[in-house]
Amino acid sequence: MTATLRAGVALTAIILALVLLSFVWLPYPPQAMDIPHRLAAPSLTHLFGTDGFGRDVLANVLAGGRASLAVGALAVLLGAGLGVPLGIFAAIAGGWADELLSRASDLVFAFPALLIAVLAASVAGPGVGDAIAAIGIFNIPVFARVARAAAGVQWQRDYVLAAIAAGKGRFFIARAHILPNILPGLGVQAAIQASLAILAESGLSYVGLGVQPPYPSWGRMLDDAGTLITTAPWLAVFPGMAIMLTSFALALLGDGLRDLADPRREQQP
Amino acid sequence: MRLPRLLLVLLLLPLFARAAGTLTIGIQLEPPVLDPTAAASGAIGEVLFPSVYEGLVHIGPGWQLSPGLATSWQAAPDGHSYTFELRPNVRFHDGAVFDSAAVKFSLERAAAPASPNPQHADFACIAGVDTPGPLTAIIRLAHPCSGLLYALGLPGGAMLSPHSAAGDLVNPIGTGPFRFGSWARGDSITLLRNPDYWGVQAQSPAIKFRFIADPNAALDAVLSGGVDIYSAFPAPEAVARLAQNPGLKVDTALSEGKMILALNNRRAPFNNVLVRRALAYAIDRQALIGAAMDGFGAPLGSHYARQDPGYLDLTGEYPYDPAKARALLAQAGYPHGFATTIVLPPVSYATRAGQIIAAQLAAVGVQAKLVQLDWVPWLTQVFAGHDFDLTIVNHVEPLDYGIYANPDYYFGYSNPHYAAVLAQLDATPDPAAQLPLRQELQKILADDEVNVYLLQFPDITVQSTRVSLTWQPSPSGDFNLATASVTGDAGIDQAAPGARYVALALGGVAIILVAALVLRAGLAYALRRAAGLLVASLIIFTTMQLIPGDPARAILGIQASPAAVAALREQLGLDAPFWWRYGHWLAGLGHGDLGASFIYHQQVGALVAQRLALSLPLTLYALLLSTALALVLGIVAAYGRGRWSGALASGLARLALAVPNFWFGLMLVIPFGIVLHWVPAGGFPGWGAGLGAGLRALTLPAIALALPQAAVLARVLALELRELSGQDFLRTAAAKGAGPLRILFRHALPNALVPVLTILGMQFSFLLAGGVLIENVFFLPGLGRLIFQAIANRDAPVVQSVSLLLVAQVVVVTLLADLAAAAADPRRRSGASS
Repeated sequence: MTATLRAGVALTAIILALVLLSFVWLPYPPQAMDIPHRLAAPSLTHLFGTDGFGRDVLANVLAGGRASLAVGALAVLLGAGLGVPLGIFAAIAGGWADELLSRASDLVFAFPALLIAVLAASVAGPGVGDAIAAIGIFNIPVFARVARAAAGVQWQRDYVLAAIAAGKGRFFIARAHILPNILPGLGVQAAIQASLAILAESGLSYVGLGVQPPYPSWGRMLDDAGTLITTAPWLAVFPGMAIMLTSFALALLGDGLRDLADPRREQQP
Repeated sequence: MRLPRLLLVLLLLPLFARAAGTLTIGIQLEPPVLDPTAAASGAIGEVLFPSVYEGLVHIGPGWQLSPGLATSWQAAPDGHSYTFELRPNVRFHDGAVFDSAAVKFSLERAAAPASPNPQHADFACIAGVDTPGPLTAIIRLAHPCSGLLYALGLPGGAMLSPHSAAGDLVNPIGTGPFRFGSWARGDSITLLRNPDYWGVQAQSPAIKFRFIADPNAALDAVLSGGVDIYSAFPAPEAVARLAQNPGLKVDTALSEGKMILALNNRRAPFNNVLVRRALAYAIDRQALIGAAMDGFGAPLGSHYARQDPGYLDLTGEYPYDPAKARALLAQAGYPHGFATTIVLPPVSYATRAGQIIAAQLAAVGVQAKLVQLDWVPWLTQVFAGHDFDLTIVNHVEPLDYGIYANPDYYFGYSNPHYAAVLAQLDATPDPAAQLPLRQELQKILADDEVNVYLLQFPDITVQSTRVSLTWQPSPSGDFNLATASVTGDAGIDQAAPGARYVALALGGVAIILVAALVLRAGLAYALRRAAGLLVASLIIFTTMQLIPGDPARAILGIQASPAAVAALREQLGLDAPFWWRYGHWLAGLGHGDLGASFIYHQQVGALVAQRLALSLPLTLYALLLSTALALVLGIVAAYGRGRWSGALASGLARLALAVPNFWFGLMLVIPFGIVLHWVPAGGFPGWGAGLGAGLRALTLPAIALALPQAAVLARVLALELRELSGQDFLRTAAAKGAGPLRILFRHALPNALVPVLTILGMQFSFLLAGGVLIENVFFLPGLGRLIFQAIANRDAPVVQSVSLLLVAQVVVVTLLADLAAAAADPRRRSGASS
């Protein structure tokens, strides 16, 4: 285990533990308003201070992590769940399937996740579903490309040729042989995409898409903090640090996993 | 030699030239069109009335009427007509004479049944206008109406010239102290002093309105001097900080806005007056003002503003009393409260107030869920569809008590007694005699508590101390800009960004690229790509049709009559069949016509060209910075592997990847834009202001965009270099005596560049439209914001054509990246790869 992997696992585990802890214990209810004590600097009673409505910032940072991690995880699962089968299929079937995948990827890549989220919000109203859908849709071509490249490599291997000669169907081979062998690479990509998904979710919340009030969200906390940056800097510092640390932890994890899986593996963008 | 240096300075001087005396005003919303009689957006009047357009009367403080384009007027004894004497020797900006024919034209147009005029309700009583002479106009009324005189001094009463009215949407021609200068959509409008004005000359040679809605950006604009005045400042929480600034002055007044918690009177339990009163007792207005409005604003007891004639203070009717609220709810049959939903429009005051109100209602047992909607869905669902329980709205139209006599209005109040008193008021022309009737109306509304009247919205104006203070917004909320001026070095004057040249250049580039595509990759390849684009166009078009919401209603606003909405839908072709509209769009694309924006009344192609004039250079600038930074980090990380320098570079790259770019941008603005003034805190002056000024404005945004991209590139580059370091050809080169630098630049880098080029291509596509967040932070009129706002406004032509352009651009850029990769690596020159 390299230092990177150790650091990545440790940091991710700590953050995950803190967010899970938020379901069981929080210093204050995140939505409890205490207007006489609004905009209070960090102190012993409020470790991270309070916001414009008197709500405890620490509680909101912990509870806000739920949204970020949930959206990140679900978006990555959506992207991988749809993208990996598509990629493997394109690698095996080749020809027109490959072409179709490339054209569809171009279409999705032309639209940044933010625009897809705005479109989704226009149809269904803003909410956490739009964020998951938008980031997830954007992840599909990413996983498809990774899966296609990796599956393409596996498809040339001897054991696959042997399986074909033995009369096994392509679907069976894909499920039983290809998939387990490309999983390590996909795992690396998943961690990296998760770290990017955290950033994407914060951007969506910053403009009002994604998880809605009164549920806390790091990105929205940053939006509210912008005009108060010199009078109440703690409002921006703590959510900002939370976003950076979480994204950083997941990126470290991804890098560590990659070093573990294959130190000379070519990095997929 | 001294001389060349001096020449150089003189040559460069225009790059940094600034126009003295232009007054820059920041406002939140951009007018969609420039004719205040054609759409309901309050921003139109703010910018153009009474600066460019004027009315027959002028509304002064306390709603005192004084002569405007009319020198005097007389009501007939029976109240069925008004005779106006018009001001002589007044001309429109195009030279046409202002006379009774213009009055007849303007008012009959405003009174027409399908008119989109925002004051249509006040003009509907006009039966016709007689013109016995060029300077006399007699307005005949079908029935008396009390609002007519005031309406003649509001933006809807603007006097238009019959010859130029059709073009006023984009080229406003009025009689006022300012002429129309230019309109850079998404960014600003410039007005120029009218030297032939009939009255006192304006003091400022030019006025520029900048549209900055984001509270963060607005704050940065006033702090950095990007605007001289900001009206209706959207960040009350920052006022404390602004007041400490010696160069700024903050004025707080009360606007005409009546912020209410609107109740759907048609629905249980809100059809029960006891429940409505209970909700009024449950709200602590002072706490609401303190937390949602940072202490600005004043409580309201009824639907009436303090500065309006006949105001009665009814704020004591329902003091904060949660116990009484609970008692009333129990009396009404809800001892345990009930569950409900509050729908919030997309404005910060609604979001803030909504959270506080929900908490206060929860304290008396009413569980309120918050639902956030965009304007078009709000208009469709709440305003037109009446499908809501509670909503929070700020009613900014002055003297709009007439809405309570309309049972079809969104909150559904029906009270014949109220309608009777209102009819009596309309029949009373004497302002003094009107007062007791006005008070009666307010008492009825408070007694029935039709809606929970929350507060009168504050009007916070932030202005630089360089601005001379002889100006005031009138009670109707419009600026009287003739007396405002700014001293000293004012903002940079904007020239048109040279959109036409950009459009021509892009057209040329597009043709060359397509030709290269066909030649290089073969006709079959090109045809496959074209087929792909066709499919993409169908998907995009269908998606736009799926989005609910009516753009016609969004344009015309909440006062529009159904007839006006229907007429506009017909005009925009919104009711035509799907395949007809799709075919029409494609046919237009075929000969370069991307369609016309519903909202801006401008060709989409021109809009895109204007935005690209900013987005394209910004993207290239960001990519340049990102590549430079990535080269440094990547090389150090690769060659320093195992040493502290490599670990540091790797660590920095990883950290940079984790920074949200919009946050980084905000952080950069404070030291560099506000404290040091090295670069503007935001905004784009246009390339007409000079290359230097333009690049300076784009520097912080480019850095913010570049950082995460650089991190990605650096990591890829480091990986590639590491993989190459063991390769034979590099060792051969070293054995031949090549130094490490030569190996790096001549052998290693060109090979490492291949995947980098692919990534750069992808990043280009992403940055072009994906910089929306940065465009918001730095209030840049870029391509991302164009699409963002077009989706929110349901501006289908813009969304469709721009989306298709984005997809086409991805295809082209991918091809370019492949070509470049082939050029860099001869092993890849086997034809374009997919």
